[in-house]
Amino acid sequence: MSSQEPLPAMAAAVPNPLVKRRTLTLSERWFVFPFLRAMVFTFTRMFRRRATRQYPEQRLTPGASFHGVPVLVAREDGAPRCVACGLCEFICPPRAIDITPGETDLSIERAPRAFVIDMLRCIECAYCEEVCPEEAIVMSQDYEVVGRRREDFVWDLKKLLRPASALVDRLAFVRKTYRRWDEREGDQAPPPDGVFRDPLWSGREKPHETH
Amino acid sequence: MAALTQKLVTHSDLHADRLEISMGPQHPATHGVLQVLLTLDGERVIKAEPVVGYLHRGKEKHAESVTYQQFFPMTDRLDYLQPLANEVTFALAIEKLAGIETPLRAQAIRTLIAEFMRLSAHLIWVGIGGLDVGATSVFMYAFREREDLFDLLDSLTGLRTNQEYIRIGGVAADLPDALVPGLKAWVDAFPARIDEFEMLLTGNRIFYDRMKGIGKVTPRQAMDLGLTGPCLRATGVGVDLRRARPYLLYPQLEFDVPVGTEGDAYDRYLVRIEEMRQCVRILKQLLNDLPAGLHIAAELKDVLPPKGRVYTSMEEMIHQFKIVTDWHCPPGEVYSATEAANGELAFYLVSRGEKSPYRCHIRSPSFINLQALRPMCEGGYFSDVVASIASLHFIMGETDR
Repeated sequence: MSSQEPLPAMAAAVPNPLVKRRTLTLSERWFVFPFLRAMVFTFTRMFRRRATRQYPEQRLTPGASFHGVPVLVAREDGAPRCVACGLCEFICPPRAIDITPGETDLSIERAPRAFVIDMLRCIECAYCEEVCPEEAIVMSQDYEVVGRRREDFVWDLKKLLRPASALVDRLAFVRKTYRRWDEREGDQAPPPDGVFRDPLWSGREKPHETH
Repeated sequence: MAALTQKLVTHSDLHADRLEISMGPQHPATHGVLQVLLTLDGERVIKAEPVVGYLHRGKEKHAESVTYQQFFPMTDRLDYLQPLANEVTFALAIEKLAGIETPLRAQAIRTLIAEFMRLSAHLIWVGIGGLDVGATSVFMYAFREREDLFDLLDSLTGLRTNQEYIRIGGVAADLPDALVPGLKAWVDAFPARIDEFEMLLTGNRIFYDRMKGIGKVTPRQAMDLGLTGPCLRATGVGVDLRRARPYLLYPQLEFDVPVGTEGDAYDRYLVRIEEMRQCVRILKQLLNDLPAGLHIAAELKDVLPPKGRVYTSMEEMIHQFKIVTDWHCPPGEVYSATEAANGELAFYLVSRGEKSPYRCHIRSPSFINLQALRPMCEGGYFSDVVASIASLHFIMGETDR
């Protein structure tokens, strides 16, 4: 609808119902019975399901969809999968990511010399995960980020790097979520047995087809 | 009201020693950081002057330096009680400007979460509004319901609040079929919860006496002030953008637009309660008949390509980079409004064909509804200021932007 178009007639096709506005009954004016009813209501709630969780004794176990802090996925040889393309650094809305690109002797040729995420800035929006063309940065299930100094929240490669086996659930979820409608090779989720056998990444020297 | 004020400020009154009070910005009943400069004559409020700007973060300016997609997380933090409704509004504005078609399922999911957000915002209203006038327990029950809803939204979006879930052209992830029964169960159980809130508040004499006749606004006054949303409808003007300028799937949905009669705080409460019942009606229709299909535009011109293809094909890889770093909005201007929980939320975007908007104005309902605070409070009692503030329900994150 363009902005020039006039506002449709305010008189709705369906008449707007008036909210039921009533005066208080004698019993409500007198106050005692509604008061007792509310008290009974509150007391019965004591025996209902407990709405709160006794943290930290009872911890939340997040599902695969949960956005924890972003971490980097390691290759099978322990190096990061990241090729320092800088897409996550570009998209990051709070500019929490800082990458210093470098070169590597591995087949991926480029690798981050330094990869820093400022967890004080990170809003866990998962934009980095969505744009990453290498499945190199994913959201973990860690939600407890604590530290004594500001520097403790600035995570470098050493702190960020996790083996793919520790992120099986999330990697499968990422595959499933961003796959959309495409069912071609390389789109299947890894098997749910916990062993990460990724058709793209295991047993292949060069992950991408050459063009 | 005006006559009373004039009478009170005459100098002939020997007891006209006025007291100036600064209420806020750190006051529990001001819903954030609102300062109200009150001039009192005894218990009467002569002048109430809201001071805004304590939460100003320069979001409109910020929009000019980030890409369109990067601004979505910032819109979440406008009205933080209904983050996804803000995102939907912003997405609709961009899509209107760029002429992007969204698939039916994406629209259905957006309608669904917009209604869930309305419920979540109204739940807070029932809780905090009750708390402001002394009903403490309803606050806990409202928050419990909201937490249950957030658990469900968590499994959909990955985050409990400030979910960055809407993308240009659709939504980030499809609504899993496994989640629908959970949402249905929550929606089915919710009318009983509304009855509980009503049992605790509607017939409660303290609540009734504190809300009835407080902060009356006439329909004429409301339209002059630019009130929208439940505050306008409480005066009897049945304007709802979901009806007046239908967007998303609202034309196909059956729902009523409840209106009040007197325009006081009690009517604003009743209208919101009734709106919650209408939300349940809408949600039931949507959840029973969720259209199948894609959750994001199939046309790859404006959306990220599917991940599988990015890994294997150079063309899609380049496309991925292009969309992220270099997505341009065609030049033009657009004003796109939706009916948020507080009223007409709109984005006015001016694009010069660049990566970021040339100008992004946010028409925030809270800011404009806040104007009504002055006529509501002036001439009334000091203790009713809190009831007026509570019934207006403005969110400072949205007011100050």
